[in-house]
Amino acid sequence: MKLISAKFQNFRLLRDLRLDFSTNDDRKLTVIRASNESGKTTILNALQWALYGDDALPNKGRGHRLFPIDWDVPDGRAIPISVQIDFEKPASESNRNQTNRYCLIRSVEETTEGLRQNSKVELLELTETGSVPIPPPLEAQISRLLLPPHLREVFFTDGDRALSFIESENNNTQVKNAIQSLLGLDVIESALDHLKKTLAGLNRDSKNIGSDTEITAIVTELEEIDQKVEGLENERDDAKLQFDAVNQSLTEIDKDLEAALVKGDQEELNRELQKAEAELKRIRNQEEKLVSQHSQLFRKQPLFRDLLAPVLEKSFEKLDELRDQGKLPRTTIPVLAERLTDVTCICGESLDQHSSDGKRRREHIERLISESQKSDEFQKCLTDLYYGSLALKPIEPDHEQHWIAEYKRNTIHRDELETRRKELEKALAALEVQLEDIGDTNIQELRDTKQDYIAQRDSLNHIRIEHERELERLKERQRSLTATRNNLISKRRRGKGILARLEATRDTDQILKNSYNRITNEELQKVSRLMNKLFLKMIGADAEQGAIIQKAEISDKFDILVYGPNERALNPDRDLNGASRRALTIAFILALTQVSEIAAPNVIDTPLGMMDGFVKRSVLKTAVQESSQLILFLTRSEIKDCEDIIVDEAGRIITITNSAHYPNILVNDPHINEPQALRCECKDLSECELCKRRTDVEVQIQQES
Amino acid sequence: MEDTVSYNKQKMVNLILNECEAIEERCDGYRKKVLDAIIEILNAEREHKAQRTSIQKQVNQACHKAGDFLARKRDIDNPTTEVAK
Repeated sequence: MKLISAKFQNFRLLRDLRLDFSTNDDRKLTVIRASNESGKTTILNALQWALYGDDALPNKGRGHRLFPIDWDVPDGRAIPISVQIDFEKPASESNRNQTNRYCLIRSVEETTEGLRQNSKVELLELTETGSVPIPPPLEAQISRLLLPPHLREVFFTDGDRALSFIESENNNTQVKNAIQSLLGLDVIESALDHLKKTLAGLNRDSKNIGSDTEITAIVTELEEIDQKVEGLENERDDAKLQFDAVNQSLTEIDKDLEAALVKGDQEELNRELQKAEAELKRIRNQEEKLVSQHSQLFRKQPLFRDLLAPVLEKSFEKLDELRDQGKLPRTTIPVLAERLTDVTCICGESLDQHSSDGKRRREHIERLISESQKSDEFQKCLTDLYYGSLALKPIEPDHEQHWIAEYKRNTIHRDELETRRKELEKALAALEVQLEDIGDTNIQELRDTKQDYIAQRDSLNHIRIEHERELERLKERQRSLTATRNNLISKRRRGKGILARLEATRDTDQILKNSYNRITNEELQKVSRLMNKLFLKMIGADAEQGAIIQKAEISDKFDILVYGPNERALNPDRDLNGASRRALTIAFILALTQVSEIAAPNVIDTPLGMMDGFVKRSVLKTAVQESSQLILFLTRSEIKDCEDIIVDEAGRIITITNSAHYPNILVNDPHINEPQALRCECKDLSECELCKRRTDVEVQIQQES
Repeated sequence: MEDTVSYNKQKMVNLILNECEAIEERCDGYRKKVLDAIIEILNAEREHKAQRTSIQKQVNQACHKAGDFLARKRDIDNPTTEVAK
């Protein structure tokens, strides 16, 4: 189906406007260029209202005025509002070249109080000679010819609303609904519900075939089994869903754990940190002690000996000279006195005072002591000085007690400690950074959670297996009872009819169930793959080149998922920028419409908002390529940088201008008293007298003045 | 008048046809009748989505039609199997 044209009368700002859309397969794009408050969203709403009635209006039309806000008529007089849409569609699936044309007109009258009756719809087939009305029921015919109402939001959307496929809380429900609608799954689901009721009715009927109590008992048991099977299947499916969810959580926690372990084990790091801190403390203490030792060195004698050595050198020489000259008495007195306390002299001779020789020798020693004691004060001073100065004589530099040796040892030790301290400080800082990087990730907690998940998963798996066993048992019983019942009721003429109906209904049910599963599995995969291809193309992400966004997919739970490197899941809502989010939703819509093979126009309001550069151009190009008819409502800023694509691809470019924008925004007076949307067809996106606008700077200056 | 939802018209019918092949041909022409019933049901469901109809009745009728066909064929093919009440 393709839209040919639309004519709006008194629909809000659209007092009298006609739009023509490109139906050319080589130039599928129609651009409605309009600035903010020029009627883009109103056109989108008006088109949907014409096709689907009040349900398609915001808030389902409740409290939503349709007439122009400034409409000036006496109270109570109704305002005629209408939208006419001409469209075409292939005469048949086999012959798509031949098309039939139709005209749909929806009209209503509304009072200035906002009261309006149900709208009136006319549907005409356009022929070469005129038009032929299509007979009622019109809603069903419209649905057949156009898009069913449930597909409206996929084909008629705006950049912001499309985001709800990934941003809203129940986005997977929206994605599921859209996919089910487009793939026809909703119809099968509904049919399966009705078939269940048909089967239940037939089962009841089979109970009343006759008075055969055996059949009644079997049918009653079969009904009970049916109920049990349904309950168990639901429980099993729930358990499976929960199992999948827990499994998913397990995968995620495994990834978290792996990532955390790559970063480091927090506890292990904390232990290392404490160890390093203790070691650092120890080294700092040693350094302090060393500083103290170092300062002690300056208070020690050896240093002073060396410092005084040059000064005292002459004195030492002189004292040595005096000693060598024998002018400095040796300290013989204590030695001699000590000898006197003994009985043997230093020379080994006896000092026994009872012998004459000993007595003589003792007297000689006492004389020597007496002579020494008689030395003058000066000599005594010199002697004291000599012996006292011996303590100040410098030690040999290579002696280990030498202060330089101690200084060297201290310095080496200090340097070693400093090096070690710096290493530790560095390691400590690295550990702190690592710990900060890990954040609050607690590996033990993750491990505990993982264990919980494993326990939950095992428990759910156990439940599922138990349910499946029980289901198998029940189904076996069901088969056996059905066979017995069939035997019994086939013996009755009426029973044979019911049995045949039961068989036919069960077969119908089975075929639809299998078809449903196949469509879900196969077609969902197709949508997912195509969405991924389009999305990566739109954002220019090349997985092989290590792009941040590697893959997008639709899960079997209808969630749109995006993956980064290493299969790491990204949250489309949080981890993607605005342009990528929009690109993803547009890729989803295009993939869905492609796979469903529904040939219908994609009408999108401001699809390129928040985009620029490559992504904007790529989204536009891809949307044109993948649509059967593409109608875009674009602002001037969205068009910027895409002018060449639009000129190449657009079959029609229409500019809509709000007359009320004069004089603030429009340069020229459109000479129209009432605010309304006006159309011009500026080629190549140029400006004419009608749509010529002031630049933003001019507008700002004018507003300020 | 063509249905816009071409997917339903083409792919789904092909898919359903394949699934139909998998069921037992309980009597000559049975599969065809079940397929007719399915198409009738799906069309009725689509119509019901656009405009509320007595859908349950239509689904019952479609199934009964296929079942009655089967019963009739069995009667014709095996009249002797009928057991007196």
